[in-house]
Amino acid sequence: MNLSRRHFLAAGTALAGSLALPAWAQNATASNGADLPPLSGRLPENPLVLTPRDRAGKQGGTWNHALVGGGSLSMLFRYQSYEPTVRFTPDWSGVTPNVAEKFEVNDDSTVYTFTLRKGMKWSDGHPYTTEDVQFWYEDIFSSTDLTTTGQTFWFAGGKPAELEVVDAQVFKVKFAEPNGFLPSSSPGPIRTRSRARRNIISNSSTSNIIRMRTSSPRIVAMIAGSHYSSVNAACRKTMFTFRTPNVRR
Amino acid sequence: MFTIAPGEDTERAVAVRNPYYWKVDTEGTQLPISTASTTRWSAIPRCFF
Repeated sequence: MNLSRRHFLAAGTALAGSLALPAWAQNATASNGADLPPLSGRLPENPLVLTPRDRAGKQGGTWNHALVGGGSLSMLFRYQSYEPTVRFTPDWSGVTPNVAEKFEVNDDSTVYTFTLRKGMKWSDGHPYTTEDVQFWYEDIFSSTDLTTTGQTFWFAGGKPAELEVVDAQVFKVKFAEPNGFLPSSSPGPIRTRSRARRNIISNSSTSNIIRMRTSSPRIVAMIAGSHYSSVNAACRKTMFTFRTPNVRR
Repeated sequence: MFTIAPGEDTERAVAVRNPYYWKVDTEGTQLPISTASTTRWSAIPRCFF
């Protein structure tokens, strides 16, 4: 479901009379007490609208988890940072835009065009744009220090993809040969991989966006595909804080 | 947004709502719903992911 910010706000205005707290008054202050812009200034122009499975919720409360360590720590990652550019649908039947507003691919799967959401911001209010993608491509993906093997889904014909930044929201990923794996690059079930082999490219997930801070300066990483490899590479070097648009300090 | 990130504490990680999260529900409520998320673990991982 797509709903522009204008329509979203119009709907919110209609609701305001019946609600004690208008939607955009939520989160009036940050967790550290700092003033925040109104919600309209915090959302992208085209926010992702989720339809509640059961009923709409009210903000508040704490979600408590318990993990037993080891492998189950991946659940922390899944709960807090599964925010790929496009993501699997809850029933695994396809992919749906997530961070990206949309994406397209040409007929032979050599050029993918992603469009980010205009006005989307990191959790500190800094704009999230293709500049962040370019940073990942140049300083993470292309760095042999951080990414030891490269992101295999970003390779085709033995060559790494080329990144072309079109503007602040649009970027293209270009391959030397057809690559149906790019959209399936998020770690997923084998079934999904087999779908990709059949080149049903419209139904899988692509890159993940992670912002890491080692110490200073900040490292912004859009980690595509099996992001674990890059994260692990960084993890071997130093303890780090990972952050995505929804989990950033 | 983590206020206690994985690795900063031996027992838990704490995250709070990102006020800039780009998702809302059909009622116009910005997500996530929960104000905070805490995760406790019983073993100290050598590496996180």
